[in-house]
Amino acid sequence: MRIFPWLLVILLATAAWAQPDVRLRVTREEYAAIRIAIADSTRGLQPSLENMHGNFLNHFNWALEVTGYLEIVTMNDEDKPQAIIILHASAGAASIAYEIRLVDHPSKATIFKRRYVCATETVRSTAYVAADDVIFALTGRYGIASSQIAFVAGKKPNSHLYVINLDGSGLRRLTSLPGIVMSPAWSPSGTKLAYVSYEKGKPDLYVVDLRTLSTTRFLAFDGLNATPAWSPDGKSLAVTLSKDGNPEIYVISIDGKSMRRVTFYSGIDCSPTWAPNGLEIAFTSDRTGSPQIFITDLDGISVRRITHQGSYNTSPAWSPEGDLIAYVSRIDGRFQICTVDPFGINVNVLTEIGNNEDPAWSPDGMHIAFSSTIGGKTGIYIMKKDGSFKRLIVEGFESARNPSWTRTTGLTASQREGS
Amino acid sequence: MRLLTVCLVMLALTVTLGCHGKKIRPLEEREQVEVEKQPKVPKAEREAEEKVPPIKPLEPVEQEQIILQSIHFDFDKYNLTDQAIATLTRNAEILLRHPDVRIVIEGHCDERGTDEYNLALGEKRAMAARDFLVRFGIEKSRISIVSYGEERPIDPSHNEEAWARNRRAEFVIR
Repeated sequence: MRIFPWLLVILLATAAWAQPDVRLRVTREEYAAIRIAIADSTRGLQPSLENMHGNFLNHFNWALEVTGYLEIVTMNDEDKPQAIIILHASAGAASIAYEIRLVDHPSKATIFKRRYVCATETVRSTAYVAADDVIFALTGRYGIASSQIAFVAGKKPNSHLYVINLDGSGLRRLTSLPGIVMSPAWSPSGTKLAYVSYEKGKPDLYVVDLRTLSTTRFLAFDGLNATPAWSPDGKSLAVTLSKDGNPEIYVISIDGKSMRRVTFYSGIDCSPTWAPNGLEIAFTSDRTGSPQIFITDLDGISVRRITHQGSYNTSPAWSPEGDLIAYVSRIDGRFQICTVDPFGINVNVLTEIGNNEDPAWSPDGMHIAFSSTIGGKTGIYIMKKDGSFKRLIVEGFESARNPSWTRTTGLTASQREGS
Repeated sequence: MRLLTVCLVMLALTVTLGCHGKKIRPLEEREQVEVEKQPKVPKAEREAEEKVPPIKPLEPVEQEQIILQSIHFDFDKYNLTDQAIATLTRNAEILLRHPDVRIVIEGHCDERGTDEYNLALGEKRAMAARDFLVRFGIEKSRISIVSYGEERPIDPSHNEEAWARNRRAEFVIR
């Protein structure tokens, strides 16, 4: 009978991770890209709109391909397209209306049909919305074209905090003076960033609202105020504080009204990351003699170790779907990105070259951003969660690092017409 | 009165018995010998010196230049090595002689490893140094700590030698 409550807890936790999603899911076994062809039936657009149409197509194609699990092929039978996007543009006064129909191939069954209207300034975002609808219809999840990455760059200790769209547009610098800044973390809504700054000479925790650009010093206890991680409901931050004499993990409500200590160990506990169900936190601890990844409940009572290989495993990042925890492992003297399931059983090493750190999940849970010296200099790369399809995405900065990834907010359904 | 008498009798007895056993030099004589061994210093100063714990008399306090040496750590460690303890002991002795001096202990790491873990590691290194000084008798209120993680290397090279130099706790006078 004593075992019963624990069984229940395990069952509940498992149930919470396994999302009741009946849509088609791209799993590891069928990770080959879905082949889609695009048939543009647009005819006779006036010359002034041709350029706009070309831009739309470029953005649309990029949004499909950047997912890494869709491949654009020709209509030829030897390319074996599995679905066809039939796209037709018609001119308005200073806008273009797109009719997009996704059909299965070769059955020709319509999967969805929708109209989108864009003007010059909304070509890019409309193309992304349209592409996201296609991606959602094929895979059950939205793509990553409309996402943005917060990161730190600059020669230490003179760094800045930046935000950039995944497509390289919309670069914003959020810090006014160069200094030590680290660990940006997006709120679940993608409207706020928590980060660590030495603006007052020591590591304090700041929160900036991207809509108003107002910054508040959220935590400034003695010692460390570090490694922020938003709870999935956006109401709390898990942080590392050393105010009680040791780096420990605490959960603090955003309204500042409650604080609970989660870890109780005399060594290092840091880098919390939330399970998507908000019931557990993975973190780094050296309680077994070397830094390893552990999972604890919010009371700090039930704690289990999930990394067992090697003597240096840090920086856990729990995937949005809950199935994997990405982390950094020191292998043969270099630092690599790995994933492990929450039970600590299946480990995959995703990088091999250079030093690779700071894993951060994409909002769709299919990709991991990380900082890497693959290309000789430190930059931010993304890859699929199986380690394939590695691409440098933040270029031209001195040691870009500490990525945090979120879906771009503000794209509205008003760009869609009909259903 | 009775008590005083008893005391006097006992004192007389002790002196007599003592003289019969081992020959003991008179008190004044012993004092003279000890005083001759030491440099001639006014009594007040001598007493002040005696209050300070076991420190070799150096130059006068106000002329001493305060140099607190950094200590170094092994990779991914925050325990104090024998060498670090020796350095910390010297630093502690200096701080004891200068009770007005307040310090910041900065914890640093080498570039390897993750930024976040190194921030915590730097904090633990600074804490280890502070705790040693406090055990040695330095008031905790004189010491503050800050971790810089891997943000402030003193050697920007990417080799073992540089990494060893960068894994350190520095003692900065406030």
